[in-house]
Amino acid sequence: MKKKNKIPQMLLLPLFLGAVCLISSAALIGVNALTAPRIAAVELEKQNKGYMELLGLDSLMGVNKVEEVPTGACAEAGAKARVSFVKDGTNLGVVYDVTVGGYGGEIKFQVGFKDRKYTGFLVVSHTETPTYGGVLLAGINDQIKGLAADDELPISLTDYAGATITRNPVVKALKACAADYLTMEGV
Amino acid sequence: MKEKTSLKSIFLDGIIKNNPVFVLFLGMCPVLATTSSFSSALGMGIAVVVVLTMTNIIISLIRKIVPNDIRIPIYIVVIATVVTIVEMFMKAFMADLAATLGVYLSIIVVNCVILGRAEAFASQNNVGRSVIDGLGTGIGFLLALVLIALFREIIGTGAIEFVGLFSGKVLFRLPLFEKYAINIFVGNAGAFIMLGLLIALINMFTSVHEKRLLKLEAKKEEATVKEAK
Repeated sequence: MKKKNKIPQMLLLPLFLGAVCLISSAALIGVNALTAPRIAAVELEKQNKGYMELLGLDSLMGVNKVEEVPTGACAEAGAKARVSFVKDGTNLGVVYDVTVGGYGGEIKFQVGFKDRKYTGFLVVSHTETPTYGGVLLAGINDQIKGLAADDELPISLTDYAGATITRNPVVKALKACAADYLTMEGV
Repeated sequence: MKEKTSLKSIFLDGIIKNNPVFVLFLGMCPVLATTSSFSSALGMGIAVVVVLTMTNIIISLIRKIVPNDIRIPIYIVVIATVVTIVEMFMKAFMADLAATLGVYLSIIVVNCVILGRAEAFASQNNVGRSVIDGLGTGIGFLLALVLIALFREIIGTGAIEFVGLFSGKVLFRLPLFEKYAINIFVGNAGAFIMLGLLIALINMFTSVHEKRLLKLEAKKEEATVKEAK
């Protein structure tokens, strides 16, 4: 008799847990459908603000934005888009949208170039440990802003200790973006 | 028969007598990490209040059908779902705050306060009482966070700043003594120091209050003995 009772009990537990997981997944799918468009809009707004900040623009009105998908080493390093900005025939600069894998998940950032120089570095989102990877990311802009694109990156960045898993993909992507930018026509 | 505690005492218990931070020392990671500014502490506190109340409601509702052997994994699934939902809403409507809280928002899942209340209270009480418990404990956690952050920000920066939770913009900034700010209080070490100081202060007040109560009781007993004589 006891053996007969054990089988349904053994099935009941995983079935119950499975049902709870299914209900949770359904709830998450529903909430994701509700919030995803808004999150995408917020990210787009942040991205556009980033373009303006990196290129020193007050507005993107009347600016011709040419978006291309990078290839080769640049794409392999995590660059998702290369956006060139032109207004009245004047080249305003180039910004790369980059996504790399860090220690705590994806790190999304933008890096800008103008007149063969870095114009800055902006983090769009990250989930790195604030006191390790977060500190590194927060300090990159000051270290590379104004630096020539064909210069070596500062040793304080390339040899930054304590957040190696965050540092390596970011440094690799920065170098790849700079190399890609220098190959562009008219730069 | 077990005497049922009143709703008022359940609510106040979580805020004062069994405050999760100052008395039970639970959820210390977000307490130390998100209290460097008043606004981030307030945001984190509100998120915990919402998560705690919602998980208490759900767990109380399903308490009679959950098999005892797998109750903890089920509580974890419920908590993780609620935290993810709150995180999604915060990313959509409080993007700047969500970015400030970063990974600490996700790790509410492993906050001992939430699982502790689910196991100790919500799994044994009805929905009404569980809501009150969730609110009481959550508000206790929120008040502790805000109190620590307030002192850390004022002493560490010499000013107090309030950033709008939805807009992410500075709503007001009150400079107090910026020249004499002690920066260590905004850093990690400052979090430990401030937490220790506040716990010591609260313990001092509590012991003084308890001594007073004991004296009053002793006086009353003396009076009744005298009357009886």
